[in-house]
Amino acid sequence: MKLGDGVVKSFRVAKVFRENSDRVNSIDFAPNGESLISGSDDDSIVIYDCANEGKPKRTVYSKKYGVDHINYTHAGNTVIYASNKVDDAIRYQSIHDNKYLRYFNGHTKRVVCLCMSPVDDTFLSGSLDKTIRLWDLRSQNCQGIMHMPGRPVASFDPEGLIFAAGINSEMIKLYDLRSFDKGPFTTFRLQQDKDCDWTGLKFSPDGKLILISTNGAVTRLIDAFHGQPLQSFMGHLNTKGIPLEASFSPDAQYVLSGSQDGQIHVWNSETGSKTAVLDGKHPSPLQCVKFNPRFMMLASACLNMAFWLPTVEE
Amino acid sequence: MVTMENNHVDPLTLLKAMSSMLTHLGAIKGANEMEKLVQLMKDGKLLVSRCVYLNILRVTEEKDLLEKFLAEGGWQIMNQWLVDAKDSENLALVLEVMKLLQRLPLRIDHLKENNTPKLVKAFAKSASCPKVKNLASSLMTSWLAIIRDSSGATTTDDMTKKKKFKTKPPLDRIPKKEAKKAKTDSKPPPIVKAPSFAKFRKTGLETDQEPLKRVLKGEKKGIATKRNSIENDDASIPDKKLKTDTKQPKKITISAGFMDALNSVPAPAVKRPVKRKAASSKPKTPNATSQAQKLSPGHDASVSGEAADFGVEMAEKERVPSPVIPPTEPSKPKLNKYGKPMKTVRWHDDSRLESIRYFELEEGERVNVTTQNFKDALHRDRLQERERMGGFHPKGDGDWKKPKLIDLPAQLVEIGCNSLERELQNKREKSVLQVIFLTPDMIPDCPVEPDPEPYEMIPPKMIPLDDPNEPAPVTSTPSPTPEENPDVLTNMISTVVGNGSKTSDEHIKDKLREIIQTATGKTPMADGSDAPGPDIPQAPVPWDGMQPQQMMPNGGDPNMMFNGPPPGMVAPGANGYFPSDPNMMMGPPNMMPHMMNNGAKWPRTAMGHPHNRPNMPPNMRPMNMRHNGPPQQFQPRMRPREPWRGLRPRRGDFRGRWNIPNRGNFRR
Repeated sequence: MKLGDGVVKSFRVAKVFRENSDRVNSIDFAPNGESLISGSDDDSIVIYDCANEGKPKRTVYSKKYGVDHINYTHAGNTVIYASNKVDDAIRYQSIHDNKYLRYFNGHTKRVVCLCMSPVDDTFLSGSLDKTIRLWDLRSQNCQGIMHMPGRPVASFDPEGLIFAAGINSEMIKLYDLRSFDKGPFTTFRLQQDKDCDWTGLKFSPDGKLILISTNGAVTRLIDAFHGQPLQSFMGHLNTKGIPLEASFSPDAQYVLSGSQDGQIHVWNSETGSKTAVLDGKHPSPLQCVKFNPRFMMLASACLNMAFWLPTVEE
Repeated sequence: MVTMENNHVDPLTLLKAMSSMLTHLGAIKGANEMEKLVQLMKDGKLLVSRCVYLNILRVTEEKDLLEKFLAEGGWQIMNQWLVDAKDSENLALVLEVMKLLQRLPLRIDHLKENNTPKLVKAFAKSASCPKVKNLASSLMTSWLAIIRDSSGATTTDDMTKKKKFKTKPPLDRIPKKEAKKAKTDSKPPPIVKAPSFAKFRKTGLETDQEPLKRVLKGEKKGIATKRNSIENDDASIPDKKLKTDTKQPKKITISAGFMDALNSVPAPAVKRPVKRKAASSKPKTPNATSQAQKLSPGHDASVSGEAADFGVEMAEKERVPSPVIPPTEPSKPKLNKYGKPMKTVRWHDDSRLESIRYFELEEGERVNVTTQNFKDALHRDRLQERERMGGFHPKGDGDWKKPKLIDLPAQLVEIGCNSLERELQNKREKSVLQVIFLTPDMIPDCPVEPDPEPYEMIPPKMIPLDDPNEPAPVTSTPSPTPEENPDVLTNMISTVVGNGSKTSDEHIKDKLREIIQTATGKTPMADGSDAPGPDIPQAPVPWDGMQPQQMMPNGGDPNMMFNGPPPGMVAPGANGYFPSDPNMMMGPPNMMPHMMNNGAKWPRTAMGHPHNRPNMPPNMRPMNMRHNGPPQQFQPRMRPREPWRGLRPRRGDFRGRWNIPNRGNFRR
C-alpha cells in the first residue's frame, strides 16, 4: 500500500486504549513495526501489538524510578528509558524477564532526549544538565560527553554513522561517530527560535532531512546536508510549552505532529502545505504521534492510546 | 454616731441618737439623712439596729427618699438582710424586711439584680409562718405586676420566665404609686396586694407629676427610658407619645379612664428617653393636642423602634450578669454607659463582617498542591477525562484490522545489524524464563535490580562543540587575513592545476605545507601522532577538478560551505572522511547543483591519491580513515544508496581509531 494524500486524509481512530491513568510521555515502535511500547507518567510501560490484533500485550511497572523517553533497543524485548524519579539515570531493561540489565549514571538533571543508534548499541542522551552523553549499552561508562550552553537535543542519523546535536536552538552540529571527540564536521547555523526551545531533533528515514520539534507552535524542517531551512510547519496549537514530538512518515513524505487540542496535523514535507488535520478527540494535549515504520497505521497518545488506520482501500 | 449605734443594743438609745435625722413621725428627713442611714445600715449587723432602720424606712413615705435609698444600695442591703434572716430562720426579721420591700418603689431591673425575688417566692411557697407566707405572696403578686408591665412592653408574651422580666426596663411607677397610695390611703400593704392594672395606673397618674420633674433633673434617666418601653408595649398605643414627647401634666388631666391612665403612666418615665431621642429626632413637641395626634400616627413607628431598642438592651443584659451591678448604679450609670450609644456597639451584619473576593485561577497557574491530595486529583482527572471522552468511542474492534505494509524503498541499513547486545539478549532469553503475569496484580512495582557488575570508571571523552582543528571560531576564520589566504590558496591551486601533471610531488607538498602554515599557523603534524594506522589514500588532490574561482569564495565566505573554512583547504580531512560525501558524489537526484560541485571533491578526497600524500615520516603517516580495512572496503562507498556502508565502523573500532587524520595531516 502506498502512502499518499488520500490515504493520509482517511486515517481514523480504530482503537482506543485506556491503560494509563496519566499522560503517556513517550512511545516507540519496534523497527519491524509489529509492536509499540509506551511509557507513561503513571510509571507503567505498556507494550501493544499493533500489527495483528491491535491490543496491549504486556504491562510492566517502573514505579520506583519512573519512565520517560522509552526506546526499543535492538533485541526486541529490551528497552532503555530515562528515570524521572530517584535519580536521572538511564535504565536498560529486559521486558522478557522484567529485569534491569544495566544502569547508566551520569546525568544530574532530567533527561530530555534519548536516542538509540539504528545500527548498534550506542545511544545518545541529552539532559537539562546541559550535556549530551554518548553511551554504549554494554558499558556503564559514559563514552562521550558534550557540554552545551542550553537544553540539548540530539539524534542519530538513520544509518547510525553520524549524530546531530542541536545547540542553543540555533545550531545543529553534525558529528562523525568515529571521531566525535574531534569535534563536529559541520555546523548549521539557523535563525534562533526566540520564543521557543528545540525539544526534539529527528532525521528523516532517508537521512536527507532533519526535523526539529519545539515547545512552541512551530516545527522546522532542515536540509540534512547543508543546513538550509526548508519548511516551518505551523497551524497546530501549543501555548503551554508542551514538547510536542513531531515525526516523519516512513517514506519521509509527511510530517506529523500532535497538538495541544488533541488533533494530529499532517504536513507535506516537500511543499510544507498541510495535508490533513486528524481529529481523534483526544481529551488532552497530544504529545506523542508516530507513524508505524512498516505498516499503514499510526499511533497517538495523550492519556489514552489511539491506533489509527486508513479507511480507504487502495 | 455610727459606732455608738452599733454598740448600743437598746433601740431607744439608737433612735434617740438618730433623732436628728428623723422627722417627728420617725421618718427620714431628707436625702442627706438617707445617705447616712444607708451607710449605717451597711454597717449594722445587729438585729436590733436593723429593725430600727427598717421601721424608720417603713415610715418614710417620700418616694424620692425611698428611691434614694434604693439608689444608695438599699436594695442590696435588703437582699443581704433577707438572706441573713433566712439563714438564721428569723422569720420576724423576714417579715419586717418584706414589709419594707412592699413599700419600696421597685423597678424591674431591681428585681433582676439579685435573688431577692427568688427568696420571696420561696417564702411564699414554703414559709412555715402564714404571715410571712401571705406577705410574700402579696409581694410576688405586686412584683409580677411590675414584671407583666415590662414584659408586655417588650413582647406580647406573658411573663412566664423571670429572666425576661428582669431584662425589661424597670417599672418605678408602680412602687411609687404604692407609696402614694400608702400616703393617701394610709394602708400601704393592702394596696399592693389588691393592685389591679387600672388602679395602679390611676395612682401612677396622680403621682406622675413628681417623677417627671425628677426625671427632668436627670436623676433617673435609665429608669424612665426603660419604663417607657415597657409601658408602651403594654398599651401599644401610648408608647409613641411617651418616647417622643416630654410628659406634661395637661395630658394627665385630659385623660380619663383606663387607656388614658396607661398613657399617662408612661409619661413620667418617658422623659429620660425623650431627652435623648429628642436630641436627635424630635426635641420637644409636647403639647396636649400634639400628643393626642401623635398617638395614632406615630404609633407604629415608635413602637417598632422601641422594640428594637429594648431588644438591644435585653441582649446586653443577658450577656452581662445583672446581679453583679450594685442596685444604685444600675439605674443611672447604666443608662449613661448603655444608653443609646450602646446601640452603636453592636456587631455589623454578617454581610458586612465577612468580605469575600473571588480570584480566577489562571491557566497554568500553580495550585496549592499541598492542600490537594494527589490521588484525589488523579481520580478527578480520570473522571473528567471519561466525561470528555464521551465522543471518543470508536465503533469497537470492528474498525481494527491488520494494517497493511507500506510500500517503502529498501531500508538504508538493517536496523540493529551491528548490535551485540541483541545477540546477548537472545542468548539470555533462551536461558532465562520469561516472566508471565497472569493478572495485573502479579506485576511487580519495579523490575528486578540489575546484577552488579564490576567496572572500571573511565572518564568519558569530551565531545568538543567546535572543531578543535579550527584555529578560530568558524565564523571568524576568514577575518584575520581575509585577503592573504585567498592569495595563497590561489597560488597554490594555480600551481597544482597549472602543473597539471602530478610529477612534482615534492613541490606540491612544500607548497601545501607552506600554505597551511600560513593559513593556520599550526605546526605540521600536530594531530598526526594520534593517527597511526594503515595507510590511506589521502589528499590534497581533491582540488583537481576545482577551479580557483570556486575556492576563492569558499575561503572568503565560510558560511557558504557548512559555515566552515574553505572545505578543501583548511579542513580537507573533514571532507575526506565525511560519510555523506559519497552521497553527494553520487549525486542523489535531490541534490542541489552546487552541492554536487562541492560534494564532488569530497569523494575524491576520500579516494585520495597516494602520490599526493604528504611526505611525512613513516611513523607519522596519516591515520587510516577507515579501520584496518583493505582498500576494497571503499568500494561500497561508490555504490549509490549505501554510500557510508563501507565506512561504518565495526564494533570495537569505535573509539580511538576513527580519529580524523586528514585534517591534521593536511595542515602540515
